[in-house]
Parts: sequence; C-alpha cells; structure tokens
Amino acid sequence: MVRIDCHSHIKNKVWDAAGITPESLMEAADKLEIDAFCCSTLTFGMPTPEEFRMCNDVILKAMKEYPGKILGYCFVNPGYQAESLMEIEKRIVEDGMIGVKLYNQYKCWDPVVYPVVRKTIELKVPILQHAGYVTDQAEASEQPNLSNAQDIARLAGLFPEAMIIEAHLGGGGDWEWALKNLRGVRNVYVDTSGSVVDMGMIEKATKYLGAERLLFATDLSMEEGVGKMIDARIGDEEKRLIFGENMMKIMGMRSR
Amino acid sequence: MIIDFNAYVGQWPFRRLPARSAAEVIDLMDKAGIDVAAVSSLNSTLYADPHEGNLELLDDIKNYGGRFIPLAVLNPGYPGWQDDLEECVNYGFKGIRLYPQYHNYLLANDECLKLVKKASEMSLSVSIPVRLRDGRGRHWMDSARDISLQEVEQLAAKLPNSRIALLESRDVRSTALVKYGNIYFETSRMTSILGSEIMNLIQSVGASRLVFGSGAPLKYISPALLKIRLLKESEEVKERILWRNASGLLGLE
Repeated sequence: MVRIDCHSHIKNKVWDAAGITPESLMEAADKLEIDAFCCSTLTFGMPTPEEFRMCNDVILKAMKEYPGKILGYCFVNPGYQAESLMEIEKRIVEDGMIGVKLYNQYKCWDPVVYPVVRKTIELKVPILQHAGYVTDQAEASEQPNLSNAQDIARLAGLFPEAMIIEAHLGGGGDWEWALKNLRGVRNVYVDTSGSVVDMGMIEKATKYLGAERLLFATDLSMEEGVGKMIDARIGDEEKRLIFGENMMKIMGMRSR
Repeated sequence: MIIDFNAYVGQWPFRRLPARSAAEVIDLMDKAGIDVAAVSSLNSTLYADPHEGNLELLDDIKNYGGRFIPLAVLNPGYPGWQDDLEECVNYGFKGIRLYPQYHNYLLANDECLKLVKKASEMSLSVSIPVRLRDGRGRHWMDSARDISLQEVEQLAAKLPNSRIALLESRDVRSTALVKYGNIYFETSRMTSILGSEIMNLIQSVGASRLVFGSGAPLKYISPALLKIRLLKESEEVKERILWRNASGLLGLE
C-alpha cells in the first residue's frame, strides 16, 4: 500500500520547523513505511518574494537530493501577485513541484488570491490551504486570517475547477465542524494530518467526504499521522485510497 | 505484555465516542494488543458527585476479570470523598485519578493535599491528565484549563511520598518536574521518531519513570503505541515503559 504524506515540511534558515531536515524525514520514512513526502517550507508574517523564493529553493534542493521521495509545494504570498504567478510557473513547470502551498496571509476567498487559484487551474495542480476552525478565542486571535472550512467551501464554489486541499483535519480545531461544512463540496480534499488523534476522526471523515476525498498526511506529527490510519475502522480499499492513491491521482492530472 | 495506563470507560459529553462501554473498550484493546487498561470513569468529569461514576464503572467492568484496573475519580472539593475513597479501596480500585480542570480546584489546595496524602498512605498512585482534549477545537461549554506543570510541581514537592503519574504530558524535560522522583510521565503526547522527546526524557530521568498510555477511547491507540515500539531503545527499556512501571504504580507486582 503506497503511503504518500501529502502535508510535510522541512526547515529553512528562518523557520526551524522543529529542526526537520530531509534526512530526518527519510529516517521517519523507513520506520513508518512512508514512500514520499509532499513538502513545503515557509516564513511567517507577510513573506516577501525573496523570502518565498528562498523557501522554494530549499525545497528544490531537497527534491534533487531525494528524487521521488521528497516532492515539493511552491509556497507564495498572493499579495505579491506578479511575483507569485512567475514563481508558480517556474516551480511547477520547470522544477516539477506538485502544487501550491498557501498559508494565512489572506483569507482564501480574498480576491487577492484569485490569480493564484486561476494559475493552479491552468496547471491542474492542487492548492494545499492552511486551515482550521479554532474555537478557543485566544488561539484564534493568533491567526486572524486563518481560513476555515466555510471559507474554503466559499472559494471552492467560486472556482469549481480548482483542486483545494484543506490542511490538517487533526490540527485545525473542531474537525467535525469542518466535515459538516465540506460534505457536499466536491472539489475540496481534506488531509488527515495534525497532532489530534480523536478516535473516530478518520471514520467520520470517510463517512462524510468519502475515501476519495481524504489524503493521508502528518504535518510532522508522524506517529499520530500513521497511527490514526492504522486504527481507523474502514475498509482496506478505502485505506489504500487515502494512504496514497488519491494523491497519486491528483498529481497525475497536471497539464504541464 | 502491555498495560495502558491512560484509558477510560464512559461517555464524553462533547463528542460521540466510538467506544463507550467496557465491552467496546475491550474490543479496542484486543485489536491493539493491549492486555490490561487502567481505567477511570469519563462520566465522572461532569457528575457533581464523581463517585457515582466510580460505581458505574465497577458495574460495567465486572465481567472482564483482570483486563481492567479501576481507578477512582474523586473530587476533594465535594463532601464525602474520604468515605468514597475507603469504599473504592474496599471494592478493589488500585489508584485514584483526578480531573481538577473539570472539578474546579487547584492541585495544591488544602483539600486536594489531604486527598493525595490519604491515597498515598493507602499505597495508591495518583494520576492526573494534563488535559482530556485538544483545546483548539473545544466545545464552548468545555472551558477546562490544561493543568500547569507548576501546579504539579507544588503537589509533588509538598507530598514527596506520593506517586504522581502525569498523563498527556509533554515538553517536560527542561522543567523542574524531572527532579521529582515521585513524578511519572505518560508518553502519548511526546515525540518519538522526530524530536526524540521520549528518548531524551529517558536520558534525563531513566526509564523507570515513563509509562505507556493511549488516551483511549478519546484517542486512537496506535499513535501512542508506535511511539514506544519504534524507540531506539532496548527491549528491556520498552518493557519497562509498556507495562513494568505501570504494574508497580498499580500495585500489581
């Protein structure tokens, strides 16, 4: 059963990412039988084009060191429209990255994001959208532009051809609320990552979204990511889809 | 042999759990290879009189022999805990579990100290979950705090003869807690492969103060189990964490 971790990270010179290097991911891959990691690396606040290019250079280097094992998301800040579009074109088409990573600089439905979304539709690659519905007000105030499942459903409705992955079902607050909002939104996938391992999460996600719209991931919570899949009381075929086949299908759609 | 030192039976008010009864929890344990679970009543989190949950638990687990080790939930701020504690010991409860964040008291207040002292005199260990759910997605009526490590330290310092198992603990290696030999740490939230928190903690305090627990049925079991199974440690160390230390805390040896 192929295991593709569709949401992972490695550190860069600004963000330590818990010290995670490509080598440490490879060690985890051996122990947890993970075949490939889809990685991004980020800087926070309002990253400049120089910063997001630096991030993508780090990812490209890792992709070259571990071909087929480390796959890359192109991270951009949509506030820099021209630079973001150029960066996406270069990283996807020339460097072979597999999608675009968006963080919390803007709500995902903000018109400033539209050109980026249109670009991913043109290239037929997914957007991995950082997301969560954080019910604790103190926690929520730390990310005022954090997109939640309703925001993502809104974006998906505006761009039905877009492929959007809602990040970390297990790291974005009230996951049941997220599932309720995304049930009928066919162009949104959900990744299973995050440190939260509430029993029943994967089963309910499978029931609400269907296994075809769930993607295995860890977001660096390694044992949590794999363990919740092992324990989930769903069929082997559903596990096969979630563990890797869905992501392989998404990656096979690219236009260039 | 595996003893799950952090397990529960009962209803969680804020989410429908896939396993609530003893029979359903046994089924989970069988699938995960857990031999024995130290369990307390989840119902007792919000019962005004948590002892009612202890009695329910006893009734629910009565048909499962030694697979369950019952731990009594007591609220030192509620009248009659002394009688309830005596009754629980007579019924075969092997430790106590405190939910101060749901019963609205501090670990170092006088009544709590009396309860822990009394339990310790009866050779019962005291387990305390730092939390029962991740706060980021909490229900609006669930305003329970995470237990602060300073609170735990005060308790351990004031009652050095107690044995305190801190459930759902993490990031403890660089805290003062490591110097208290009467504090044990449950490992389900610690990093293992990436971050190596469990391995580093073993280096700091030795393997005799770590216990395996899963948090089931609130949480899946395999994440916690993988963290121990994949440790770069000897089988002897893993055995200590997986059951020997818990066995000592529960008075099974």
